[in-house]
Amino acid sequence: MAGTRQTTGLRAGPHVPPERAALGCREVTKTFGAITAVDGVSIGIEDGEWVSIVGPNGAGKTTLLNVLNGFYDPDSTDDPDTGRIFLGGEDVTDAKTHDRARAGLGRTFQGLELYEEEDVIENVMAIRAVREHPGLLSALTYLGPGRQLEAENMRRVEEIIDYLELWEHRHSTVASLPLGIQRRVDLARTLALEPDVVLLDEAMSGLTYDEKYDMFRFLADLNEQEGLTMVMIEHDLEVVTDVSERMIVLHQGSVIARGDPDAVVADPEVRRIYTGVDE
Amino acid sequence: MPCGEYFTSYVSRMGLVRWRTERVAFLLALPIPFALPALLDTGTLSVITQIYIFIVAVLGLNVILGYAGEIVLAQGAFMAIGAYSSARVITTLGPGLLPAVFVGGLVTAVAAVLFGLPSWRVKGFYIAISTLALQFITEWFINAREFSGIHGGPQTTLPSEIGLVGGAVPISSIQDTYYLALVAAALFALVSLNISRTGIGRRFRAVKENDLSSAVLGIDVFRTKLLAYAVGGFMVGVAGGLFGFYIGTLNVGQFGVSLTLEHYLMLLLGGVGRVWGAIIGVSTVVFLQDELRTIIQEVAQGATALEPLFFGAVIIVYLALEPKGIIAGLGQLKEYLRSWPYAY
Ligand SMILES: Nc1ncnc2c1ncn2[C@@H]1O[C@H](COP(=O)(O)OP(=O)(O)O)[C@@H](O)[C@H]1O
Ligand SMILES: [Mg+2]
Repeated sequence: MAGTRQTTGLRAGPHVPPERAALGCREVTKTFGAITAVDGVSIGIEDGEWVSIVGPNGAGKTTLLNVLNGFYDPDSTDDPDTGRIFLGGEDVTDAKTHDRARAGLGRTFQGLELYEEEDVIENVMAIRAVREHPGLLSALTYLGPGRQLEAENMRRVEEIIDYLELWEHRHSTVASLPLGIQRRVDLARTLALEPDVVLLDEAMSGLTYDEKYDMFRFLADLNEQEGLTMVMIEHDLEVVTDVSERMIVLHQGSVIARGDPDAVVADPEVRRIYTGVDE
Repeated sequence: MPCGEYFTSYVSRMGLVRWRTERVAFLLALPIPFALPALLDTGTLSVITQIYIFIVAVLGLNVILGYAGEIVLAQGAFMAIGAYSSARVITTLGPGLLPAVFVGGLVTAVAAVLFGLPSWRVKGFYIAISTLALQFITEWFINAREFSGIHGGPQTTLPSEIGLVGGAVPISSIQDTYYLALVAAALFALVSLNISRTGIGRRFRAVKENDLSSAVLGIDVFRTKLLAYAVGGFMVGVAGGLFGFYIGTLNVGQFGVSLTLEHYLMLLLGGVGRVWGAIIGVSTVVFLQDELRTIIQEVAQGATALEPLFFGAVIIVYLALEPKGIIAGLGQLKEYLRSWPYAY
């Protein structure tokens, strides 16, 4: 809430002004009936950053992502400067969720939400078809540019599959694959969009140590070599402090601390929430 | 590197007939449908012509139901709209069969899109109900004589000879109609395969399997569904136009809910979402129906209720054994033969 917000240290405002961030929002609230899932949150993610969002179950992390990518509309406000969402410097509050994806906002899902009956290639190709697709007539006849574009999409998808070391599973039905591989397919699918920013909702949850390590390796490469901006919801504080440059702590829908991961983890208020004394 | 054939380019890998054996089989089978009119009696030829026309209709249903996953219960209405609007164009403007059937397809596509509009907000069961409404509205509309000025009356008889385009290439005999229907079936089978292997079909399937994540990953779900309604509706409308010419005299009763159910059964039996499934499903059902009718006539004349009863039983038993349809069963057989005698 505005009245209680301090302006320095771990209680400071957004890292960069939301209007100019790679991805940002200003005082966004989302209620479901009597539940306030997200409560006046402002964030500003810088281009190329790797930021983690942490917080107990039900803190509003997934809802925040859903509001950022337009799956949910934020509550409307009287003040035109609040309740706004920005992507790459543009106000996208009124943009449809699919338009935000095409504008460069990718996303993986806590519950996967894959096309389970299709194989790995089809899952990735489906989203690749969003980015580049031939006109109706060219597709129906499979002549001219339609055919070439399909081949080009296939080549690009094979590259992504190679990058994420999914070769051996290319023709496997997704539902038949282990969780660790499914999470990788989910990542591959969103990479087919060639996004600037990716929202990762517990991409490592439920994975074995080895699977986590693999996922971490891919994400680190994507961030460092491809310059992908990443916003990651993650429960494992060890992973968070290891990989992310900044960390945002959500509690009961509000940001209660943000900044350098080591400093945030050491903060008494954050510790209190995580040790459960507060609850 | 595995031995044997392998793909050298992405284009060849996405081809329809990918393997040498498939190509040989395809080339060998190709002349058969063209030779049939010289070999068969007109009765059998007429049955096969109906199969071709219904293949077009069921392929249209397959685009909407099999690819996009929308349960549309207006197949009969779509066929009627295609048939009556083509007939109207023929009797008033006389541009020839092809342009008339094309217009019939377009009108049906528009109707399909209009009744697909509720899919913006609702799905599943509600779409079924909304499109079932189209069925009743269509039947009521065509039966209403005060609208005869628009639809030309509930009973319309078409000329027995129509030029393909304008007065050129007259189509009159069952042989002519057979070839026309054959070309239409082949054309729309190819179009369906092309939809399936390009981004359009992939987006259809994505929306069917998970509309929520599809939207979040950039697919305009509503537009994608409407596209499926338009493309599928067009195909069913074209089939309706051809069917109208094939039967000669239109009668609303031929385009009822039972036609919808029949086409659903054909698709379910053959294999939903598969082009070969639609083809095999239609052929099986039409042939069985024809045979059954003959048998029932011989053993128990007048027992017309036996036909749907027996038929329903056959289908239920089959689907209980092989829920993915005949095409899936054949796929297993092919896998078995391919690896025979050493399965590893
Ligand atoms: N679609 C919804 N309808 C009603 N309540 C919801 C909905 N989505 C989330 N919530 C509620 O909002 C709160 C935050 O949920 P969520 O964002 O999923 O938390 P987290 O991801 O941090 O575990 C919870 O109390 C949850 O029950
Ligand atoms: Mg969550």
